[in-house]
Amino acid sequence: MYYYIFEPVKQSYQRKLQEKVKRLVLNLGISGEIVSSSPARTINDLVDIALTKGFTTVVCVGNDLFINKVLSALLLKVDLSDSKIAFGIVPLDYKDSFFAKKLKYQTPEDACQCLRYRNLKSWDVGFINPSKFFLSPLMARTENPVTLKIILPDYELMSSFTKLSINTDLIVNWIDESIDNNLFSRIRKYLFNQNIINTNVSKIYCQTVKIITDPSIPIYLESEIIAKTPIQVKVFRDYLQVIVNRDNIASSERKD
Amino acid sequence: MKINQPDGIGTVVGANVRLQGILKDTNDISVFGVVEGEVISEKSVMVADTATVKGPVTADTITIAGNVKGSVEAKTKLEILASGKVNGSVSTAILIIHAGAHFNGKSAMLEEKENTPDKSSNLKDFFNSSGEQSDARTESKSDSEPEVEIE
Repeated sequence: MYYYIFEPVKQSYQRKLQEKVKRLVLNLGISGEIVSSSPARTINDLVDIALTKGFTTVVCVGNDLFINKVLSALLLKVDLSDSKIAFGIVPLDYKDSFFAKKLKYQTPEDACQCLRYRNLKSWDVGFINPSKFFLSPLMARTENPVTLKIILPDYELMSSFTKLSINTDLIVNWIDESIDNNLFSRIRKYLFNQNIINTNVSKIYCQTVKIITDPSIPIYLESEIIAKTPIQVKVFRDYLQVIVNRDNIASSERKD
Repeated sequence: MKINQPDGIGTVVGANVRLQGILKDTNDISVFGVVEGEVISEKSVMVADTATVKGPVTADTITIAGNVKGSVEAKTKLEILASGKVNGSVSTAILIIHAGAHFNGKSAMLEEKENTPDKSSNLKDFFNSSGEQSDARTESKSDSEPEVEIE
């Protein structure tokens, strides 16, 4: 049975999209309990109800930030290594949605068809202290360069950045756009046939990382501040069963 | 600790980075900054002209255009470019040092990999097998075939 958690409607086009999704799931024979979060019933309350009633598929319908919130609430309440709960995603902002791009959804029909076929794939899930799970990349951006210290189990490094991102694979990317990348230096490099590639871009891959900055800066998940540095981030590999498009599953993994 | 990461994703140490410790990766490593410690890759390591590595470097293929103070071990190939400076021992199967490079240290050449054929033994095998083939041919040849002489 499917348990649909809808994002509260803020604009009229969202209401139309939500009505369309409700019709689609009914026509496809995958309707279930449909709820919407509100001040009276928060996301945590709705997730509690789903777990109490024993639903095995929780589907989130909304924008990327809402999907991350539902996911975080779900994972804080259940240990998925013991549970068989699957997570479905119906993103509504198809043009800008991280999940729409990752799942290759272009319309609500694509998402609902995938829910019907229920092809599952294990996704990595990120965790940031004190208690937030995330699927979308974390971002930090400053106008002036900020001193950065990254501590991993095997090494630590010092750097500076103006833009930093952490995705759920725990690939940390950062760049200091203030260093040697102005128009004059690029023209000079071009005239003297020097390497124009920005060498101040860094990328590391880790399982767990601690990030310290001076001064402390906010870390954003979508448009919301999720934490402030110093932060500790780790990844749970293959932790969440997500309903995906058949194209997202390698042929060897498909259970046809 | 070995980290199994998706293929194609490597590590890039930018020019504004100072790293201390053991940098390990199953994929490629590119160093543009300063590394004080070990650099270990199962694939390739590239030390750019802006980079300094103070410690051993180990990989399958290593390209050095910057400064390395420590031992270098490349299983397949080590290339020191014109701007490269290496102070330490090196061991590799194929060593390429460009004009202008600095190298102070000992060099140990590793044996080439088993799948690379050894030319001298190949010649012996060729002549041996040619002799056997000519014997087989003379036994089974038809009357119209010319005689084959092996020198």
